[in-house]
Amino acid sequence: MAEKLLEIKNLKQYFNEGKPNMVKAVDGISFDIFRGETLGLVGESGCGKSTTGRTIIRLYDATDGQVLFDGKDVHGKKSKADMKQFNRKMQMIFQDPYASLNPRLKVADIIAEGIDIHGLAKTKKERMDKVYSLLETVGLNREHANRYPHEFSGGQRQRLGIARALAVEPDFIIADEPISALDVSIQAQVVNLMQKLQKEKGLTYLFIAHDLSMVKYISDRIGVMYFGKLVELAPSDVLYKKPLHPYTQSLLSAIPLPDPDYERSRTRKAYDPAVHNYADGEQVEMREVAPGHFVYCSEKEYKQYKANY
Amino acid sequence: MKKLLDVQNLHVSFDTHAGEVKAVRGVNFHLDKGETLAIVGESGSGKSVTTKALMRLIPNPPGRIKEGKMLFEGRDLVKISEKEMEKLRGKDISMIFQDPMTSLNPTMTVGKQVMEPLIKHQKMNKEAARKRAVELLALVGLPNPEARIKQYPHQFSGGQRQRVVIAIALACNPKILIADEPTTALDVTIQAQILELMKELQKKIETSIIFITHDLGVVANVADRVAVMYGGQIVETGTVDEIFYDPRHPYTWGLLSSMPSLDTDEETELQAIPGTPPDLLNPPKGDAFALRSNYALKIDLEQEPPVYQVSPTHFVKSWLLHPDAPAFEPPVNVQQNLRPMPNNFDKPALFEEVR
Amino acid sequence: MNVENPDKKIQLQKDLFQPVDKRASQSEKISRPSLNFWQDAWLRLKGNKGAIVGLILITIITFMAIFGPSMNKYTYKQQNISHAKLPPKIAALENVDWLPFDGKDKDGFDMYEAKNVKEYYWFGTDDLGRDLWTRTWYGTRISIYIGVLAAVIDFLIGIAYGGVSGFYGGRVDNVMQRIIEILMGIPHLIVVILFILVFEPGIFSITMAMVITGWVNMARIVRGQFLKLKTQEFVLASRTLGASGSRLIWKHLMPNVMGPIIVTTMFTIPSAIFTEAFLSFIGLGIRPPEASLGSLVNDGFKSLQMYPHMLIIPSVIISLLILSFNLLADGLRDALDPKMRK
Repeated sequence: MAEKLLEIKNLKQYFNEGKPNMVKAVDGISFDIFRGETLGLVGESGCGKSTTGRTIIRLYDATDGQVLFDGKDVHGKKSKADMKQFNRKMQMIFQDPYASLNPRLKVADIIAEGIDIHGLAKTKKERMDKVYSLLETVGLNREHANRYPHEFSGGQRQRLGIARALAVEPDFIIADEPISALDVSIQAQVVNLMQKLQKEKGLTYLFIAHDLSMVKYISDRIGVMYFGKLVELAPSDVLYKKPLHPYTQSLLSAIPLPDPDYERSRTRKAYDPAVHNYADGEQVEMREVAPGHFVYCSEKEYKQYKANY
Repeated sequence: MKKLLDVQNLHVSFDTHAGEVKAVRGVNFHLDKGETLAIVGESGSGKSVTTKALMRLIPNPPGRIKEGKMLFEGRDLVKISEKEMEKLRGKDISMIFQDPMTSLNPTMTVGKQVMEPLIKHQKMNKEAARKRAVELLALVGLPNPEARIKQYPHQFSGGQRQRVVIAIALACNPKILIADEPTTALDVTIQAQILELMKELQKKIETSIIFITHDLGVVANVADRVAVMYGGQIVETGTVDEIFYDPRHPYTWGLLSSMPSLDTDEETELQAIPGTPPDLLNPPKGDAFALRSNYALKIDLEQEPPVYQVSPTHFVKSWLLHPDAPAFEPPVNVQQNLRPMPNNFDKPALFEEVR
Repeated sequence: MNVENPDKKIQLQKDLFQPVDKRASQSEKISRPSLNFWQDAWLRLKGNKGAIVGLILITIITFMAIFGPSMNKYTYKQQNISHAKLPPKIAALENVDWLPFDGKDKDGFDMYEAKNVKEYYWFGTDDLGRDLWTRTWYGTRISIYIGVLAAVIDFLIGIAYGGVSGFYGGRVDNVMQRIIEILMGIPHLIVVILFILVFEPGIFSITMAMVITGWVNMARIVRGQFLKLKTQEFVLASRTLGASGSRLIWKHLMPNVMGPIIVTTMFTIPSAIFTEAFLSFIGLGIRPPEASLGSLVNDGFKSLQMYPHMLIIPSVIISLLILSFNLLADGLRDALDPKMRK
């Protein structure tokens, strides 16, 4: 893990700026994603994790901050050709398998959309061959190409969404809660598929989710978000073994596991933001407590964490 | 213990223009007083339809209860009139739905909505109902209930709304509470709170709970007994320990091993259940799960398996328990958790022929 | 099953208990026939009796509007005072007592004999001796023209306006919606009267009045749908793939708005037909010698007591026309409503 594929610097996304109902959905977060890794992003609904993903891929224009992809700024003025180039490098998988496929298009046309837009196939036959091979990549078969999305189950649809993203051969994929709407048995299918693809094609993932056990499994590093801020970022094992921020601790203590004995003894920790008791003007920021383990904390807390590590 | 609810051979079908969709195909289960039964299964397995049938909330047409009995305190809920059913609904049997955003009426104050069943079923006057509503909201842990009963649902957060929904469901001290994925739409931290609340309330008012979910973590947390559904049938039932520590059906194995535990590292591949649930318009012949099973036998493709009994409380519908069947090892991450169950018979016994 | 007794074991061949290969790929098979949205909608529409009745009636009336006026030798403005106010008489049906096509007036007096008329006027004549069969179907033509015009305006202006407003959103949307509100604020009748003052009563004025305001409803519906669909994940997905605006509109948004558009159009048509009839009835519409169903009803209204056929025939036609459009629209709404899909 050396090369930075994506650098996010002080990214901010405010909605209804300047109006009384202004929402700071993403409030100044910074992190890097290395080539070939999976970075998990977890947090409760409304914490800004999905907005972060959508801002990175430029579905929203950032209020402030920078997103550098391969060293180049994603936001800011770009020519059409640059934009197209960027669209091929970065792709997204969506949450809702029912809303993410156009119900009026055939599967072949859905998957081939990227091929059509970027002119990746010269002949009709080449286009269909690509569609067939993509269908097979995601574990479906060529007979499915002529069907409509409503004939598929949730897991199959999610795989179609993956095939659509793969059609343009991206380097980086943002997976926005790709398994939240799926059944447990199907979740594993999708996660396994994503891992297989990562190995084969050297993909980099930003995996956004609220299911922590699956995130732990798939991610190399995990970032925890709380109300628009990144509060902790660490390699996934470390985060689970040594959560430092009290919010992370509370989040981890709330996950139910499929083990009745563990469940009988599990105690939940509640998080109360008042525990920090930050003084006015105290500098609260991301600090590296141990190598690769960042926590959003004050100087005082930092020393304390460091002493107890 | 006495059976509070006994469902026998329930069949529910929906008539669509493509044909008859057999959503529930011969389901048997019972519910004891004060226990929590979790029904697990993926979407389309018939778990929601089963409970909607219990409440007689299947829209007809296109749906209908084709066959079977649902005995509640000796009365067959399939046969009683709609009027009698109305008296039971919300009083003896009540239901919590998945989405707290849509299960409350946005144009009515929360207080009114909690008072409604009290006035309707318990014939309380307005003043008494209001007092009881405040008590109920306090019981489900809403701070400052006196003021909050005058507010509208949009002034509540998701978790608070689900608490209100629970308060409404519990208003008449129901004997059965059906919770249809009550925490799926909520965040983990809120989910944990709601689950704790439900367990605590169950102790207080001795309700029996039918808990529908697809999250095995939640099942391990709340359930006393578990019924695993697949393709419109119950394939395995047992106590929560039997299901998690001594599962026998390959589908249960699949479910358990498709979830990573916190110790699973990235190198071990998850044991996903391949394929897609069956289309109940044309249910497969034999064992519905055979096509997706790693443990399928020839007979699974021919004949529907009978039910075998492993312990007084543990029933499995699978040919794998037939004496002639080869011995299979369950998947690795299931094996890690296996432990002997004290009540198991020496050998599985044939419990029931296929009808 | 062979044997019921568990002790004897089920008599099943041992080889049935051999493991079989994985066949997961089979479970991916979709057994249902593949139907696209329109095939699916047609299946549902076919099942709706009212809609089918409506569809058949519309076909018949449209056929008559096209070919009816040329089925006999009279034209819509040819007068023959000596043949005025004749009741309906049809060759084959004149001997059927209970049908009103025997050429007798309401007192049972045979007017054709009295006036010594040899010809048959199928729907009778009006007070200037013009053939009502020809005039009725001629008037129906006008009604259908108005209906088609309303649909065309809905499509050309309504969809474009609503689409632009919804697609761009923000400031553009704000301005465009205020304009619509102003247009909605002006009563329809005043617009028509204004046009009649400037030009003259007739089909042109009604057409122009409809061009000004008729598309507002459609524009609002299309805009609402666009705003809703724009945030759907399949549109976002297309945007992340780098789709252009026109691709988004024509591939993703428009096909998904077609359902509501068709339903709205089908409801606009009868209401436009009714509006025209109403305007003609109060004398603001078609001018004589042209005829429209509304003006025919107005003419017949004057001699309602003596010659009821002059009122009843155009009234029945216009009612049937509006009713059948509404039936069809209703059926279409049920057939195209995505919420009913399963």
